Amino acid sequence: MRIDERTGCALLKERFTQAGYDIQDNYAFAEGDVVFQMDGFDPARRVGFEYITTEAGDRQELHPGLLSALEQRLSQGHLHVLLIDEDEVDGAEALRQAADRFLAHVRGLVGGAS
Amino acid sequence: MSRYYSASDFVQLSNQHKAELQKQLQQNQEAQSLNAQHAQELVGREQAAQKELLEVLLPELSQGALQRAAALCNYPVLVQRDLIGEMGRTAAQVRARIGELEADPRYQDRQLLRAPRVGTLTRAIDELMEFRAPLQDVVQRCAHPRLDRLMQSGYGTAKYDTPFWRLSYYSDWRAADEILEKFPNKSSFAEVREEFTSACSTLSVYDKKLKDLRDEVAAGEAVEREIATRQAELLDLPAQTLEHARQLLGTYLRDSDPADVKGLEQAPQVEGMYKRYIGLKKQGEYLRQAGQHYLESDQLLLRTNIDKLDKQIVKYSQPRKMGQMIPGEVVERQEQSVRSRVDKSQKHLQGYSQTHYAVYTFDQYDRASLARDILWWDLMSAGRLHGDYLSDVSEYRQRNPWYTPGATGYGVDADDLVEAQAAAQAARAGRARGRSEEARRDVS
Repeated sequence: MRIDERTGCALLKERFTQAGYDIQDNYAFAEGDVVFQMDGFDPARRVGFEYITTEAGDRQELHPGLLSALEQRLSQGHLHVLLIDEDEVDGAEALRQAADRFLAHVRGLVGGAS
Repeated sequence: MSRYYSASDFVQLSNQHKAELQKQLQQNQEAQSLNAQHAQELVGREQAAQKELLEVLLPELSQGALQRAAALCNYPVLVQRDLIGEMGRTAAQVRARIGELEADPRYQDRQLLRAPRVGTLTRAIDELMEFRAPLQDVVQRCAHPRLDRLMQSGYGTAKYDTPFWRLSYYSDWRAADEILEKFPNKSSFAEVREEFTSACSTLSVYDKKLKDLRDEVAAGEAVEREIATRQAELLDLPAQTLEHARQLLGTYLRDSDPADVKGLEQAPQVEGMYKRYIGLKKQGEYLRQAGQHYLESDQLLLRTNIDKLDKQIVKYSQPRKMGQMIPGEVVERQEQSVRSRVDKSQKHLQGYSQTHYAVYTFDQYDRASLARDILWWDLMSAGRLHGDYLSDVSEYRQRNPWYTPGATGYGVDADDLVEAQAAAQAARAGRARGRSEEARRDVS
């Protein structure tokens, strides 16, 4: 069940904020080759989310080269960003659960937010 | 001074004229509808008459019956075709095939192999289905929209490499949890995966074996079915052959000249039935042709005239024509044209009606004689109705150039007819001699 960009980001921000993160909307992320506007990001704790939709032009902005560079950084643990492709979302409940599990995993890696 | 009509008056008059033609058209259409209905009815009666005739001519399939029918109808083909011999040969072929099939072990051992519950094949299938059931249950419990993805990505194994920052990682997790819930005795998806893989593999083997067994059963059943079909065919062969013989005879009687079946005179009852059949056939033909001649072309003319009037009505109804004056002669010509069309149409209807009555109600089939070349039209119309448009009449004229309507046989027997022909020829010869004598006198 598709969820639009606005609804999806609101839901994710709500979960991330509840987990103690200070999420800034439309954060201008720029590190090395990876330059894009992230839907939500806590720059201090380097945790955020990016909801990839066609509507928002994300597929042009997050082209394969940039995505690959971003995932390289993610795999090295430099930051932790949950990547959600709108085509894979299976409803609000599933998205909420995914966000919570991601945050639990990050907590396990780097410790709690608060 | 000649009279003029305003456009609105002309339109009004044209509408009246149109109404008259439409009334005539409606009568025409009603007549056509009845014509079609009666023509169809005559076809039905003709077919029934033919069927009765054939059943009497050929009541059974025997050499005697075939010979009698062939002789009566002057149709030696009925005997020459050797239909009974042909039937015998076909029966021998069918029996031979039945023999082959009955010798087939799949038929001979049908009870041993396929008896419900106890046949060897039946039991093997039942056993496999029993073994298959729990494995099928495992597969069904694993059914999930994301199952293929879980299996291909190696979820639950070291092969699984979807990173935790991708949504699909959590979607896989959720799907695996949903499947695992259906296996209370398992603690991880890895265990479910193992059981699912094993079940699929074994099912594949069982299913192949099941297919082979079912194919064998189907092949055996096909042999049994073919035997039943062939036996039915054998039982039905005499009836089919008789039907075929009747069809051959029916086609022959339908297409041949009544003079060719003069032999029927030896069997008065059959002769009467044959005359009735041919008479009905002619009635149908005449009625259809009368409909075409009197009604169809008339309908076309009425419609054409109505269309012309419609165009006039539309034209003179336009606002820009309001002030126009139409000369009286134009109106009178239109009136005369409509009157003439209606009169002609009435005449056609009358002609049709008389013909319809004469043809449709005719039932004196016995008045026809097979001994001579008669014209059924004359019997039905008593020579008092126009029939030149009928194909039967023009064909008759070609065979009998001396023909005049009514002269063929209605109330006239064969000898009278021959005498009439001789008298006509003598009269013509006398006139010719008279002319040449006069010519000689003139010359001298």
